[in-house]
Amino acid sequence: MKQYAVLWPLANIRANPWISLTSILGVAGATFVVATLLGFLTGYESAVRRDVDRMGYDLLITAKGCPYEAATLMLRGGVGLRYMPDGVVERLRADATVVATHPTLIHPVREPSNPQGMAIYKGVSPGLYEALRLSMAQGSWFPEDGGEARADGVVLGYEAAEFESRHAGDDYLIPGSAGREPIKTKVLGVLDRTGTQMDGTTLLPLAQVQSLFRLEGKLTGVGVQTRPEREADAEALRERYHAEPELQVVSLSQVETALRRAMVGMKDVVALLAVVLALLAAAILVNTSLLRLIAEHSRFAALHAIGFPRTSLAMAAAVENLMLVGTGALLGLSLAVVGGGPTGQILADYLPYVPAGSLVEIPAGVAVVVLGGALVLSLVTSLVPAFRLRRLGDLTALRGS
Amino acid sequence: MGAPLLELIGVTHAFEDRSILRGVDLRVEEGEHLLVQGPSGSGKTTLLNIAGALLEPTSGEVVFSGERLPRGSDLASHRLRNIGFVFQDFHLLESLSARQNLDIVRCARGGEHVHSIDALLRPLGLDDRLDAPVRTLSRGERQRVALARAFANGPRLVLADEPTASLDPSHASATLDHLFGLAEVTQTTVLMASHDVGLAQRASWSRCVTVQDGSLSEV
Repeated sequence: MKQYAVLWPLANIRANPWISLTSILGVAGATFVVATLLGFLTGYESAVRRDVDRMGYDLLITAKGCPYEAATLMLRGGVGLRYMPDGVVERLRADATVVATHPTLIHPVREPSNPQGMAIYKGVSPGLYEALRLSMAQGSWFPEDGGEARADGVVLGYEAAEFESRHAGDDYLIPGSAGREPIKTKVLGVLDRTGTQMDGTTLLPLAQVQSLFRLEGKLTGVGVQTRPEREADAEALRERYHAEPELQVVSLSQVETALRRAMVGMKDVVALLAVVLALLAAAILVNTSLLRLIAEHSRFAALHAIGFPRTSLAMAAAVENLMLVGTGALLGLSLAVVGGGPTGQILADYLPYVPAGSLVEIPAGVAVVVLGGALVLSLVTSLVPAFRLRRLGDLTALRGS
Repeated sequence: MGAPLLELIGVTHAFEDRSILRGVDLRVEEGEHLLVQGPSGSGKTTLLNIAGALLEPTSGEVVFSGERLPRGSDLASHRLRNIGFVFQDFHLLESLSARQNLDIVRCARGGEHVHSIDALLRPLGLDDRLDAPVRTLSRGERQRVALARAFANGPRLVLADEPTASLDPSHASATLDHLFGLAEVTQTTVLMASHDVGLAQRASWSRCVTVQDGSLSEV
């Protein structure tokens, strides 16, 4: 009988191709969505974590107000950017809790060719490349030696380069400003996409931006790296600067906490969806099993009449379910793995914050959970036909035929 | 004289308020070919179901090979070891081949005390269709496979309930030839129910009995 434990269910699956296909596709669809949702949670969380890690700083101290928003407002007649009070960077550098500082100056310039558009120039220290773990799509970053004061070109964020159709080595024109003539320079390199506002900016060494736009000594923000072993001191530092009326301090642990809270909420929604889908798949399977059972009712009865134990018949129904569920689950999982990239892109359109990198990742753990869930589903849905078989009256079934 | 293969002693059966069998006594000796006749609704099928341990009588006893069948228990294992069934509607496993339909029953028995599949199927003239799915066979071919399957578990008694009911006379005659042929080869006792009075004319029957209004009488 053992060889028929697999052979008979397999023959049944092949003999009823449409019913079998419906079951397999139903399970595959549910598995695809569940695997994708779980993969999205994993991928999104790790992408957010990567983004947070890439920030490189623990604290971001800026003048009151968002500099990007202020830049936009200024171009529309607002009061303009606020700059940090003098001496903040020096004070930070003297603090034993601080490992490194990365002062920046953001300056918006109206596009000469497009009065509605603007280019955002960001003055940075060359060390920022290491601190933010940036990478180049093309060309190179500013040279470390001497790049602090002046560079022979600009580095473009990914979207800025795309918008202006510029590549490494192309000419680049910095518009004239405050009586200064436009400056013709080169594109040194183009950064890989970061998923942050950096993507839309044009980068230059800090001193060069200050000089070009006659903003010597001005800063809009400073990123601060603290010593990880002095967490309490870093918190005290944050409190101290937060208390200064002209400054605002963003702690990246706060950002991380906010994102993680959002993830917890998202996880609940995803878990609910997964349960609904699993129930849907279970309903499809139970329906298919019962359809088959009704179709085979008299044959099961005949086999029991011949002397087959009910457990063997229930086992045959369970093996058939397992084959259908297993095939569907593997198909759905494969689709989720292959379609992870495009699915992530579709989901990105509906997200308030889109981190860089793949949004859907299906590691081995997720695959095991999905396949394990499918196994449980198969066993649970086998209980219904097994229960029906237990109550099967041989004579009723034989006569019913 | 030894114990009969099957003995029904004072068997009665009632369904709801209707009495179907009334104190039936029947002895079937080993190797006999017994025909149970009677009009539709006379109780033939009920008699076969009780003889095949598919149905428990309301009262009376069923004794198989000298052993009384216990009441209130699933007698699947007794059926698998001792009884073969030919169902009117065949009830073959449509997704499996003819050979597999026999083999699955043979395997369920554990492969012991059973006849070879080829020995059962060869006389039926199905040589070129043995490995085709049963659902692709004609009605007559399925009938023959169903006959062969009844012998596949090596039973001592084969019960056939109206196996010729839906067949024309020539096919009915061929089916009976196959049934007797298989019974001869395997030395198996046959108990068959039929409403067709013409079947009693065949010489192959050891005995014929008639069920009328729930009572049994020798013809």
